[in-house]
Amino acid sequence: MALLSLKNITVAYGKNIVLKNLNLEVEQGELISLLGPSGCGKTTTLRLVGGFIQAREGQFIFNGKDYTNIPVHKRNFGFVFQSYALFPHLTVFNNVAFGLKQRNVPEKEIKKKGNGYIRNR
Amino acid sequence: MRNNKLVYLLLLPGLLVLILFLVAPLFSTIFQTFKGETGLTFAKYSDFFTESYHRKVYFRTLKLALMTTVIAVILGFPTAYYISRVSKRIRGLYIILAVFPLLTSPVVRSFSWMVILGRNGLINTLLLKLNLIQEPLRLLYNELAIVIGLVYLFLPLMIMSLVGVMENIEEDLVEAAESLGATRKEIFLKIIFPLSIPGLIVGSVLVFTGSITAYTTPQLLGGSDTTVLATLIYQNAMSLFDWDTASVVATIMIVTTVVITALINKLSSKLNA
Amino acid sequence: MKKNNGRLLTIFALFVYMFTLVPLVIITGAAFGSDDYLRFPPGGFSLKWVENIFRVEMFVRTFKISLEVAVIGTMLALIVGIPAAYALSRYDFSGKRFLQGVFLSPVLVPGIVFGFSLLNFLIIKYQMPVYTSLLIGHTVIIMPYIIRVISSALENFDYSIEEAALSLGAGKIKTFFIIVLPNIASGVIAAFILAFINSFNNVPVSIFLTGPGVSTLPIQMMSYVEYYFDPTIAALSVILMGMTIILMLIIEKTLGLNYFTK
Repeated sequence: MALLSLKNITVAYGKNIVLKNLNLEVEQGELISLLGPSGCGKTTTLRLVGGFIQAREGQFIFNGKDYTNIPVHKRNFGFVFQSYALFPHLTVFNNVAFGLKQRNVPEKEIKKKGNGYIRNR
Repeated sequence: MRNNKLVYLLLLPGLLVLILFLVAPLFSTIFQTFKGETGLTFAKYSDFFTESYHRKVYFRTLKLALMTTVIAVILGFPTAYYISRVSKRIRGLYIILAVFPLLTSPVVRSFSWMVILGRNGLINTLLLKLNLIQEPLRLLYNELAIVIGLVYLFLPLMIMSLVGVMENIEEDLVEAAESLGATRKEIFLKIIFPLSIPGLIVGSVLVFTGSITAYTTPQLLGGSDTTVLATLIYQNAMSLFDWDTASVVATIMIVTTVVITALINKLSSKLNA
Repeated sequence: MKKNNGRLLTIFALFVYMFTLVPLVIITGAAFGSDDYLRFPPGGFSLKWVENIFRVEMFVRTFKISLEVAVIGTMLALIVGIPAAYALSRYDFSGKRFLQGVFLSPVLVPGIVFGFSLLNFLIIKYQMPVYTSLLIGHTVIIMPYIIRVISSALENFDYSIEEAALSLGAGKIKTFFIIVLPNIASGVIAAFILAFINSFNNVPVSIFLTGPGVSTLPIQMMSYVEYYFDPTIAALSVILMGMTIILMLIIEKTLGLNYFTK
């Protein structure tokens, strides 16, 4: 069975249907790229997987579990934003550590992991 | 987004405050004026307008507001044009100097004119010293004092509305017109003025409705002889305890401001078409 | 640099600015006069009228009430206004336009009409205490300032930063407090100051909502002028103008001067 599967997904904003009956399966370790003209639903598909928008119809299964109605902050998916979305009021370290803090990783480990990504020049 | 429930939850507290403490009191006041012995009636309004004193107050209010608006346009338009054409740094200074009075208490601002126009005020002292008059003039507590006070109160608002629009007129347009042979006068009349109309309309609506509803300035500078709608509401409510008449005046004031705002907006959309 | 203004236009603009500023200078001069009645130019220099402010017990007391009403009213308006501003700028829903209008509508209602209606409705009809009614009235008139300033602060804050926090595991409410609020802080401060000034200076709403022991400073100043024509009010005006300048400086420090030029 595929790691990630979208089943008959329909997404609409008001009367404007953006995705209609989308089916997609992605295997573990597979690299996927979505191609298409602007407005064809690439971002919408990604945002649906991320959990920022909800499908009107259909199901989203990940690792055998139904993620359709799981809120964003409980999904634990990585997401890279077009605008980078750095937190302007936080230091570099706190930007890196943010996700770990939300997941209640012990302070010591946050320090170790966080500093591992930051190098002084 | 489909978080409809959350949206209404976020809006609910604010909406409740507004419905309970703004909409309900207003409707109760307005409704009261149409309530007769039996059913709904306009009797209170016809009673109100049959009294010549009330008619006088009503038309005085409109007249003073109109005078204020016209003077504010005459003084504000060239000034705003000037500000929109100075360098950005100096423009900031001018705008701050216009905002400062706007954030100063209207009591203070009206009071400053009592110091200028009063019996021992600046103007009387000056005229006496120059032997132009023998007795101090009565400059306060008349219509002129109200108009001066209102212009003083609202001129910064007019200037700000106009500058907001004028500073967005691109210099390229002016240069293009120049290169096509337009004179300074033609540029002003055919480019600057038409493009400034939206600001002129916003400013005029603000000044006109503000002048119709102003209380502090006419109360301090108009005295008891020069009643306007706002001071009439206060007198009826707090001195005569005639809440019916006060409610009628309040309703008339709301209707007048709404009608005038709508008229000016309609006129402007017609002009633009 | 744009083209130079004509000389006539420059003189005209300076004249208009003199008209808007000279009265405030005159009132400052009158505040430090030594005469027993108000006159300009004053006969000599003295600080006695400034001292006199603190001798008039009603000024001290109503100053405290005005301060209290403005601060509590602004807090209340922030508590109900920030969620509403958030909903109005972050979500799309039916009737959004209409509700935006509703939330800004207190600006459109003439203060004198609103004040009278509150007297009619809250105090006479429902026998509410005067002080509570005064507080309610101020909360309502403050609301549009809060909604407008906070909404524009939110619109300048990239929504994907919030989404990033969500995707990293922070809940909606937590995201608001640790990500959104710190980033719109300067907007909140500006909203607070604008709301505070408007509440503190308000006359037409407060004037109906006064009673035994409850009055505001501007109302007290107006009734003082009716009976005494001495420079105390001028001295008080100078203090109030000083307060305005300080608040404007705070806005300048938090948001920059261009906040006023927008």
